[in-house]
Amino acid sequence: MPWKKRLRIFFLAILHAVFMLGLTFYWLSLPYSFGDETFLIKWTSLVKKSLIGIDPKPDPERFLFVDVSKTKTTIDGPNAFGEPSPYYREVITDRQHLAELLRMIVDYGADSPLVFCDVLFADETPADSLLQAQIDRLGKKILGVGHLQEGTQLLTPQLSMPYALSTYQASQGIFLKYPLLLADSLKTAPVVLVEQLHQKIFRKNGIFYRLDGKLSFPSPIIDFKIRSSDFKESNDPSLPQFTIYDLGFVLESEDYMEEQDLEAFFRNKVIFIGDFKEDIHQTPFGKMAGSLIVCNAYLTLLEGENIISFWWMFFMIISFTIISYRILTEQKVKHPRWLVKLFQSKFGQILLNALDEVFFLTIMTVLSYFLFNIHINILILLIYVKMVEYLWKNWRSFPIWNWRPGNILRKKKIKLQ
Amino acid sequence: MKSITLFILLCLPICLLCQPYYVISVKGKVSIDGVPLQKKDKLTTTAQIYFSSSEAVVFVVSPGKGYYYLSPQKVKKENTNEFFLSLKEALIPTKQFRATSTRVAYKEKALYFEDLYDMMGFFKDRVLLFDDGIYLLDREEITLDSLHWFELEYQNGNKDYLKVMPSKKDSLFIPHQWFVESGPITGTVHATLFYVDKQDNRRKKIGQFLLSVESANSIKEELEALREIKEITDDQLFFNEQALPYLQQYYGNVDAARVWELVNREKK
Repeated sequence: MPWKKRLRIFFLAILHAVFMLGLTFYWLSLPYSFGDETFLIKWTSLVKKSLIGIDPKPDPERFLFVDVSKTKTTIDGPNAFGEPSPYYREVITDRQHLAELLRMIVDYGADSPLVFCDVLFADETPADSLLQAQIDRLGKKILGVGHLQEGTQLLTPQLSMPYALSTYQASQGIFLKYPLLLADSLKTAPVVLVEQLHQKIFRKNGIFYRLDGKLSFPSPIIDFKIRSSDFKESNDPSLPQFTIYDLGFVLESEDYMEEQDLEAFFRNKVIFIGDFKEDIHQTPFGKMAGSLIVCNAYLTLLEGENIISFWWMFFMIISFTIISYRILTEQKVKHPRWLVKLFQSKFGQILLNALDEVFFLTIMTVLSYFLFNIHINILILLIYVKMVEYLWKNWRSFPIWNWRPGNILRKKKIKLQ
Repeated sequence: MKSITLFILLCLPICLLCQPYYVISVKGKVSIDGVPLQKKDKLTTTAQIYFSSSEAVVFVVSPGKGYYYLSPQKVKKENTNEFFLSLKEALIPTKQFRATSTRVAYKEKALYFEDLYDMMGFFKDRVLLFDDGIYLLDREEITLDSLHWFELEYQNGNKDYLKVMPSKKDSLFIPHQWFVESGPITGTVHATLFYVDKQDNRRKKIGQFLLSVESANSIKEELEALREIKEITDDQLFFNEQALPYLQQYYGNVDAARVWELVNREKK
């Protein structure tokens, strides 16, 4: 191939790579993920964290997890007429017990930076005044949650307290991404946690999201640093453990523990209060409590794994340029005969032709994850790449000024003849 | 009996100095300075823990750090490598039995309290008692012995009564006989339930409530009359939709299992 033509194709490949990068940004910015991603994300993460051992954990002593699953009560629920009825019982978290916990935090946890209460106070109950009094004492040190139902209806807490959204979108019922912003302007809980605890500023300028001035994905795929398997009892008292304490246990401890020991419960800890038994979500790492998901999302933002770095973009441009160049020069890997014999049907041949791109894209996403902690959507990229390949093969020889429907049909007729 | 001594060097590493440990449970015979270890004991910095056998275990909590178990035995490390566990799960998935129906009532089991907070949730506002009240307790969480018991304080007319609630194995009783002896009770009485901990010299109020004391026969007659009005023949349907909600509305919290015994015609 003459060098001028090669140079033209090379520049075209770079242009196409930039376009592919734009498409990748778009797909990565969607608040939900595609089905194929779960499998790849799960196994690449397991290889990195479990097999290779690259699995940095946050300090367990930074967090206190309190489980309210055993602290329930019931209230009258609405009947068919929308009126509260004693025949319709709704189970909610006992707010009186919650108020006692907050009172303990005020009394013994003066240096706790923040209490995240992942309990939606959607209904009014008789114990609200008790709970409100304790919330008022905590002031800005407490963060509650709201919920965006069906993407439009905002459910806010009945109590007066700062809150952030704890909502995400899932495809096939599996959690992967936590959107930073919902409905264009409502910040989600992980963002507010990072803002309040570390004084980082989150902004949206048009289509660009920035955290602390750096470009960010709008819906980053969460890195699960703390997983259900991390919560266990140990026989080595010198090592701190991730632990979930029942709310009742914490409340009862006031009966027998000394004051300085009670202070140790809360000292310098970010407190996550939630239902660790019922508020369960499916993730690539199995079932996980909602509060733990928020904690992991917060840690993902804290570690900057949502940031779009220059080197990641450079890596993607190079990779897409290679893929584009191969498409434009119609390079193909020579498949072994036995493989060609295996895929003799038309569908089989399509699959065989796709193997090269599958291989390259898989290597790309694995490297992207291992080096930059960013997963990319390879199935949709593969579909796009094959479409481009098809169009390039069938349309490039036809000069653009001759592209009229009649001429195209004539060309097909000539080919058939 | 082989004595195995385990020294916990709490005083040496500086980080451990700051961390207290409280005993959650003890399995086997474990002692400190000759004194058997009890629940809620605090382990001091110079503690010398004696295990009577290699199977003895102490389960402790450090408020700042988590749960731990102390044992002289070397514990076999389970394979917790997530990659291999996931691979095993993917290749040999665990089977689960799932029900396609929901449990809507406690039919056979008596009222069961897992801890004092469960009891607080029941003994409040209004409570109905017909015949003897029998309540199952989790003895791991709620201690009942010569130093720990429940007391019921109630008023009938102008007189105050204070009775210790009898217990047997896992069950706590409120004998209906008390209220017969103290004079016929009409309507409701004010009652307060206490948990006495003589060891720590504490008397914890579990709940203050209005207690309705009725005979099983009168409640049964009332429910039969209700059933006739509603014309429901199915026991389960009547229990879920009429009997239990009716009693809860007009009398208060009630042991559902005892109500089922009154309503269930099939067993007769």
